[in-house]
Order: sequence, then structure tokens, then C-alpha cells
Amino acid sequence: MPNSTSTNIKIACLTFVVSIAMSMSAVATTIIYSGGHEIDEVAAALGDVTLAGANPAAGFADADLAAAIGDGQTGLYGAYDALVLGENYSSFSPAD
Amino acid sequence: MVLGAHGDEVAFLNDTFGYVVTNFPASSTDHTPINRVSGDGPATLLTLDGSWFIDGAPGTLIYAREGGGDAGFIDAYGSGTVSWLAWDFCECSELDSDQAAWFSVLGTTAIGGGSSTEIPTLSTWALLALSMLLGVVAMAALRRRI
Repeated sequence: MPNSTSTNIKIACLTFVVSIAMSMSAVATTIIYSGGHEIDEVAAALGDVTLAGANPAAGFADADLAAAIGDGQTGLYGAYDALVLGENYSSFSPAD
Repeated sequence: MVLGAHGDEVAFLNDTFGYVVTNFPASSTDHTPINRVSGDGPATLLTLDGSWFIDGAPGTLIYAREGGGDAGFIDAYGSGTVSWLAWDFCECSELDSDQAAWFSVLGTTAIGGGSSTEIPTLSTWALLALSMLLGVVAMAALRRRI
């Protein structure tokens, strides 16, 4: 078998394995948490649910929350699946 | 998703989403059982410190307190989902074992309505690329044999 064909087959196999691995590990729920009691233990206990990166365990302050959320795609923490409003949302308005 | 807030959740839910819910008066520390009435999740939760209940939950009621009081709901709203749980997730010296069931509800029932969300990946494109690559390799092999 020519070397080029052998190399192509190796690349194809590697691509296949990587693709399968990505498919199997691509299900998760990322939450953004705002204002309330500590929720880091909660997120850690939830298995496939994770707290967004650098999300304070006690939640974001109001102003920081808006920056963190962004539009769900381009915000500071990128795509997320759920916004969890902790106990301290009395200052939020419908406009927020 | 909205968590319990010592009664403030009523005004928030009504003002923000147009619901008509009211507070249901009940002790927030007596460990009264809360039973699942729909969906998946633990069959029973306990009323933990910081739990506040409502009446008139919109959408699908998922948990109800024994003796009265709604303790969790999920409602389709716009292109998303609004959910609420009665507990504020204050550890407040509650046993970890008593909190565990609430954590489970937070993760598997209230968030996303019971299903996790698939994150878009390149796997589809990778499989398409793989198919094309295999096709090219096959064509090359055939041409060499002819």
C-alpha cells in the first residue's frame, strides 16, 4: 500500500475517533447564577450541570450580571443554558 | 429560573411574567414533606429553612407541599422556560442529605424542563469531512488499481 494512502487512512480513522469522542461528551448544562446563597456546592453536586466559569459562588451583583450574560452567545461567559436567579433579585425589574 | 426569596418572588413573578400568584402562608423550617406531582425527580422533598410557598402556580406544577402550597413549577414562556422552586438554597445548618434532593431537582427538573441541552459541536461537520475523505481515498485507490 502506498505511503500516501496509508497516511490518509490513518487521518480518516483519527478524525472518526475524535468526532465520536466529541459527540459523546457534548451534553451539559451550564448555568449562570445571580445573587443569593452559596451555590458552588450545588453546581458541583449536579453532575452534568456546571457553574459558568468565574461565576462567583454567591452570584453576580446586578451590574456584573448583565455583562456576564451578554446575548447568550457573545457574553463574557459565552453560551449558557439557564439563568438561575438566587434569592437576591428584589432589585431586578421586568426591564432587567 | 427563579429561587425562593422570602416572599419577594410573588411580586417578581407577577411583574416580570404577568402571572397571578400569591403567597401561601406556611412555616419555612418545619420539614413538612413536599411531594412531586408531575415530571421527573425525587418523589419527596423536605421543607427546608428559607422555603416560601405560593398559590396559583402557572404552567406545570411539579411539587406541592402537604397541607397546601405550591413548591415548584415549570412554564413555557416565549421561546424559553420559566421555572421556580420554593427553597432559596440556604444551607442554614440543614443536613446535606436533606439538601441533596433539592439539588437534584435544580439540576434535572427545573433547569431545562428535565432535559439537558446539547451544545452545538463540530461533530456533524467532522463526520461529513470524514465521509468525503474516505471517498477521496477510495477513488485514489481505485485509480491506482486500474
